Amino acid sequence: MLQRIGLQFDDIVKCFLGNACVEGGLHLPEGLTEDQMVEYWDTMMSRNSGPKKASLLGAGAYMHFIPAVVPHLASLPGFVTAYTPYQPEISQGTLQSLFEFQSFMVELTDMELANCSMYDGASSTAEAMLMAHRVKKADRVLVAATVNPNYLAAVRTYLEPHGIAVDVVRMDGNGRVSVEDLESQLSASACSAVLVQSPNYFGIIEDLGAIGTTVHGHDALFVESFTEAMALGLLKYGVGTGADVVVGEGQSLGLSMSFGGPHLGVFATLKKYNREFPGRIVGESIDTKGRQAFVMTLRAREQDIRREKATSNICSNHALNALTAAVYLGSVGESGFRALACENVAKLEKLIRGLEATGRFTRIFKQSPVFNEAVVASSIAPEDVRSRLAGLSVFPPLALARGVAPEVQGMPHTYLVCATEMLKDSVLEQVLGALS
Amino acid sequence: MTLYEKSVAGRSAFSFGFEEDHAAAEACVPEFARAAVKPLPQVSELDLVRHFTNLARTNYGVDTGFYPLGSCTMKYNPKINERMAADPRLTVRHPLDDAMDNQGVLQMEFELKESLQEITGMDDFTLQPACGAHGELAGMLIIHAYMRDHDGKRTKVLIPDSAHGTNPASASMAGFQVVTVCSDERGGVDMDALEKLMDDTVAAIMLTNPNTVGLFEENITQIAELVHARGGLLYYDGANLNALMGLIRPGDLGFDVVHLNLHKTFSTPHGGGGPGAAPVGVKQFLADYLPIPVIVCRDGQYALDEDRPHTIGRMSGFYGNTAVLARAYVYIKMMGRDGLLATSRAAVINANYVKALLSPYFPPAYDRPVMHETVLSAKGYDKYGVTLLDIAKRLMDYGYHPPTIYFPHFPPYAEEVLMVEPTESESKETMDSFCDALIKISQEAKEHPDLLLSAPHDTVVTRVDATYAARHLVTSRRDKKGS
Repeated sequence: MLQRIGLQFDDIVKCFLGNACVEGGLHLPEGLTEDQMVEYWDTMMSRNSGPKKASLLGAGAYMHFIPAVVPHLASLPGFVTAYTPYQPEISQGTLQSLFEFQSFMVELTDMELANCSMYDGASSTAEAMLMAHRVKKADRVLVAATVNPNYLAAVRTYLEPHGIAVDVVRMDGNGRVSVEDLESQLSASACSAVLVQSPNYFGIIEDLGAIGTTVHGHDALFVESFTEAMALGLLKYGVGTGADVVVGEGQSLGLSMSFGGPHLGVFATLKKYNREFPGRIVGESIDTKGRQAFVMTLRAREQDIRREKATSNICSNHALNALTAAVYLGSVGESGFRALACENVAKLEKLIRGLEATGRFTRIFKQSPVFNEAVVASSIAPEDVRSRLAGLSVFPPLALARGVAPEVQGMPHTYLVCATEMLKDSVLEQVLGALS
Repeated sequence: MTLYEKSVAGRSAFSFGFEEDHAAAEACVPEFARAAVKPLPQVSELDLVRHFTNLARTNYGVDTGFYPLGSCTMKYNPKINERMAADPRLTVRHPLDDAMDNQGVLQMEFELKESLQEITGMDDFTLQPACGAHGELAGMLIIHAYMRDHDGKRTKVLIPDSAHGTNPASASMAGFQVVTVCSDERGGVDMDALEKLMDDTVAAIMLTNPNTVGLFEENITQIAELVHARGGLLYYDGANLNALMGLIRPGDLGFDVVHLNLHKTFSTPHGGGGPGAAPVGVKQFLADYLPIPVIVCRDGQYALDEDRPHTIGRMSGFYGNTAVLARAYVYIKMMGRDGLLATSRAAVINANYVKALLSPYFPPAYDRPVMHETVLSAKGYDKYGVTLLDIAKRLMDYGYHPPTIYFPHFPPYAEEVLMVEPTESESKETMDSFCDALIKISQEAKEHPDLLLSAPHDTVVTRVDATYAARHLVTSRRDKKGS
């Protein structure tokens, strides 16, 4: 080969790098063989705590049941080893799967158009706020105090360099965003977007319809966000509640938590914003013989064409995870998805009842409906909770910092507890026994 | 046919032992609940398996054949990576669980960070960003925050005309005004242009090196000196690091911020468009600005540190795409020092080999050795009535994924360019066959142009009409029902 090229490798390198090569080579160990790698990995991973059957920990990542068929189909090499479907004739598998994902998202969010993925719920939410700013131009947005703090932080990160003020709408006494404060902040000065999450950080279902009506009394876009996609099986979002954008985290749709990623950003909006939304989208078309075929469309918004004027810099997205979510939804189907959502509501209800029965926990914001998370106060300190649950194969709940939720006399510690369909009665019994 | 058309009421692929009363659950939230019937398809498990298995068969992937898509580094990704990334000891870990219960995962991430520091010559890293463009945004936000604290009038970013679209889009998203620097006749940054543009309003220059035409930026030392002397910073887009591992380090060249596309250079299959991961490395003076959390090791214990007052904030909900980081970790661990060097060496030799074979038919714009990829011209085929697109589509009939086409756009390149990146994985035999096919197609263009014009012939669909898709916007099943 070098003969054909007519140069030695060192000559090629020299003509670029001169003599600047890394002296003595990189300070990295010699490579491992595959069996050595497996052994090294095993030793390392055994430093994690033991396997888990259920999780009392949610707050943006959720442990759900993943049917065997989901990773099986999502691992097919045809899907896994392809790239962005620039050449539709040999990428119909990816394109059609993403079209089906978009269809599912449109139905579940009750919006008109969904892209084929963003990175995760937080970045997708931040992109929605940027889109609202492009549309409305006012250098101010409102975010409910009840939004997951990591989502709020991502919104701030994305908006800060553009000089867009991020004002927080306070929480009412029931753990929901205060519609009164929202109205007064909207009246105070112009604003591009209002961001509300439901279920919110405290697991509480916000009254999106009422909020939507308030927002549309002013000239702002209403951005609905969710961290728990399982809620899409039961709760109302989208045009019915006045949303301009519905964004959120799709990890619960057949994806593992994997210590934080890769997860799945969902982004759905109205057709009137089809020149403004970020990310890729697949459309249906025809081939030269008139047969149904799929292709990426509305491309003129994207960075490879518009460069600095693009609606977003996003290029690679989380396509394989979108495909996984499509397989998952195809697998659980119409009845299964709603049943799962209901099972989550019921499991949380059972967990709360059980915790309160111990006399050492009490639910905060009792009047507000919840999905699969809720805030509880407790007399037991976080270290104690951890050690009591240590042998039980469950992730312990998130301890909230002081001041995040109202204090309860004699119960100085607050927790965000989560229950999913994974919390079987047998495990729940052990949990309650340990916390009694 | 989509899954909806295969749906039959009452069918299900789901088997789950529910324990609770769902009527009571529904009654909990009546005013917030949506209509009872969910518009999802109802199929059996076998229907589902056949549907997606057959879809997967219509896709071309690296496991199917040669995929020389320039700038995307479609190398082979070892299967051991997949096995490790699917380990339940990693997949069933909650990102907010206590660090002490996750020392194994954190050790993996910390060791990966240390390896990336060594490979790039940078002082610190965040593993948080999800993909290349996300890494660029994080890097540019770091520069934006640093300049806000030190030199607020620097609001512009210089970007060569050869850069990927993500560079200007990322700089713009980070609040900068983008100024394009033209290339010189050798394919590098035009030094005279840079000299004129580099003033005290410029925060940074973003460079991809080797650049998108596969050429190493020859004047990098002078560029670094000039930009630094005038108070700017250097951003390194690591999309093409595949050519440089063990040969040269961006940190040693003077770059202040780098991002790496782990899914390219460090081996994660591209999944039809992602997910990937793009760690961002910085020199020490920028380390305080890294997004939170930052992985640290104190007294032999790993933790995620959030107490960083100067941080740009959070780029995403959690620390990063751990399952992608795991693949990169395994790749680096198994390649080792010599393996990484051998990878870059093979990537460079392969690109030059393909260039040598194809040059007589598709001349390179710059006739000098390339690094990891080569840009060739398909100009002149229009006299036979065919375009580069026709040539690319015809390649599919020969069983290949076409190279990147019509990119880059900048002069002296005409529109008709193809960018071939064979990667290090491919054998001489595979590259020979690919080049033979392309050469044969160049003959066909003269003798049977209709073969190209009507290509591809052997695919599940023939050419897809992109204009039709844009005109009759159907992006979900709901649009179809409405039409």
